[in-house]
Amino acid sequence: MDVTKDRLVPYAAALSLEAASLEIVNLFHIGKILDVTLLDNYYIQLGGKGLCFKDTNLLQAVSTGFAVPRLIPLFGNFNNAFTSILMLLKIKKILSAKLLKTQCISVALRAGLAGTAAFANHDVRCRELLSNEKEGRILFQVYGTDIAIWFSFSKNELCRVDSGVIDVQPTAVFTFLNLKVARNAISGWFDHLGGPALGEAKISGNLPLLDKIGYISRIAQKAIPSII
Amino acid sequence: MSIKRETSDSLFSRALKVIPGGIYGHVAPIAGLPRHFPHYTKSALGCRFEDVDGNEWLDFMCGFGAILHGYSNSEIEESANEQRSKGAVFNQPSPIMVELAELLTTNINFADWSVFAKNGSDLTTWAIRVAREETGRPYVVKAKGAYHGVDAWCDPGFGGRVENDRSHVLEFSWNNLDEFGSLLENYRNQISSVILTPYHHAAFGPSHLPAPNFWLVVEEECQKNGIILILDDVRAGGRLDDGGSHRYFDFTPDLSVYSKALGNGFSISACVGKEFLKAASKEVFLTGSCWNDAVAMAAAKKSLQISQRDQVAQSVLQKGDYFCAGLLACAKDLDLPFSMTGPSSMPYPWFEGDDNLFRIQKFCELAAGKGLYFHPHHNWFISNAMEYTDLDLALELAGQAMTELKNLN
Repeated sequence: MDVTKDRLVPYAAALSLEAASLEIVNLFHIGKILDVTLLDNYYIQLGGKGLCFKDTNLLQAVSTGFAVPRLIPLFGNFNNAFTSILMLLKIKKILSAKLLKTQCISVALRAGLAGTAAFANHDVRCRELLSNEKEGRILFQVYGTDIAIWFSFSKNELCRVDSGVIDVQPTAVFTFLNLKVARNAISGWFDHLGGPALGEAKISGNLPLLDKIGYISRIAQKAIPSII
Repeated sequence: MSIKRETSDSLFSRALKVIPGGIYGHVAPIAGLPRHFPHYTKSALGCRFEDVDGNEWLDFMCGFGAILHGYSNSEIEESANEQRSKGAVFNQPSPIMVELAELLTTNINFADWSVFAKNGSDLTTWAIRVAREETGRPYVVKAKGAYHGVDAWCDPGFGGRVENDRSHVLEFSWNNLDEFGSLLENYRNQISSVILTPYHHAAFGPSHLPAPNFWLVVEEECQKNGIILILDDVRAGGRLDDGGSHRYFDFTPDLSVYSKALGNGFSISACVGKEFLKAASKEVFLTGSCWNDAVAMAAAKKSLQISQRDQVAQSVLQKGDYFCAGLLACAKDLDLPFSMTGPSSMPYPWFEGDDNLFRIQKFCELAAGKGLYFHPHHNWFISNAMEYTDLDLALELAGQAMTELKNLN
């Protein structure tokens, strides 16, 4: 699927929401997955028919926690739209939570990496960075927790983000020292050069690949607005 | 065993406030083993250094190759100090510049002239421009993954680039002469230069020696096609042959660039060339305010004299042979699938199947706990200050680390 340059940021933001919903369903076994559909005329649909935002409104929603969706599809598919809105509210609550909870970090980490994957898949410069890589499975974890988020890709497949125990050898492992450091990283307050040097994170495995993904993640993080 | 690191960490925390990333480039902690290597060194002598927390290390990185005769070599320090008493940088170069150029053109068999700068990058990039000036052609050919410096046409980072930075750089896989031939064919009369290291020593992977006919074909094809052959001998220079690494592999470049071991830790680089490139070299601007640094030149002159006198390249190769054989024997005893790649004076260890480097990282972590400075991602270096007793101690400690590694599996 081709995503035009002017739609990449809202699309990546929407995929972050989808990833957050996937992780919430995975952790709490409730709610609805907000699968993303890019529509014409700069509209994005979340969770099937009903909840649809203008690209610019979606970016407002992810940065402030509120934006007005399109009303006609909403009233036409009210029940579906309503469950999608409930999930959005749940995501907002989790991402803006002040307390450091494992589940919250897991959701935020998966959401953030989904934005990175969107850039890795659809941004020309980021794609070029990974063009010589055959495959990769980078495991992100937080020491002392069971958080395990996987960023994977292969030559013929797009980058994807999964979570949980996967019975494969990682290509590289990034371990945050604790939930606070992970939270800082998700919020853009982690020094990728300094953090590992001071023991805030441990990196191992294929570091050149990790370096590339890290660079892409910083590009994505800079571009995608966030409520965090 | 964990090392003391309070001072290192404290300094690094201060650095983070005033230096982007704290420490950058190839010595950035994340490029090595961030919590197993120190961040800062206090002093070094011979083949050992002491970090700022007082831990002593038996060193196999030699300032990433810059130290050939050992840290603080007394003869080199004496020469440098003698020059320092007269001054380092003036309005004009010091006579030592002429003496150093004469020495280089005497020692290096194809060299008719020499110029100087501070870093390898300064002169790899300049050499390419000389080749463009000579040939009037835009393209440069290099090996994939090869490191030639920090300039935009070749640096291994990602940031600050524009598309045009590499629009005239062509790449082929090391030792793949078919790919090399195809590039020459497809860009006939457009290639100014081929720049290569004497053997392939890319980081994060095993080193590759040239195939038996590699240099023969490359040299012949360059001559046949009017392409300037540039040897990037920045890393290997002085460790394979005292007269330049081209002699070790039996070929002759048109230009060759040296740095690292040239000054034994004093910042200096040199490019030497054949007579026919002298005119072009005069057309390509080259300068730097401190590039005529007489202290570094005095150190380089003494360093070269010691190399010739003591046949240092041969010596470090012999010591490397001894060390590599010892490590291989140890791995064999433990039934670990292990090899030492590259020349023995600058070897890189490799565990079979360890493409993602977890095993070498663990091995180097364990070795670091015993005071051995083994880098997991970059080739190691043998210094001529290493005595066989030092190598025996290193082998004993490395053997312990390997045993622990084996027991982890």
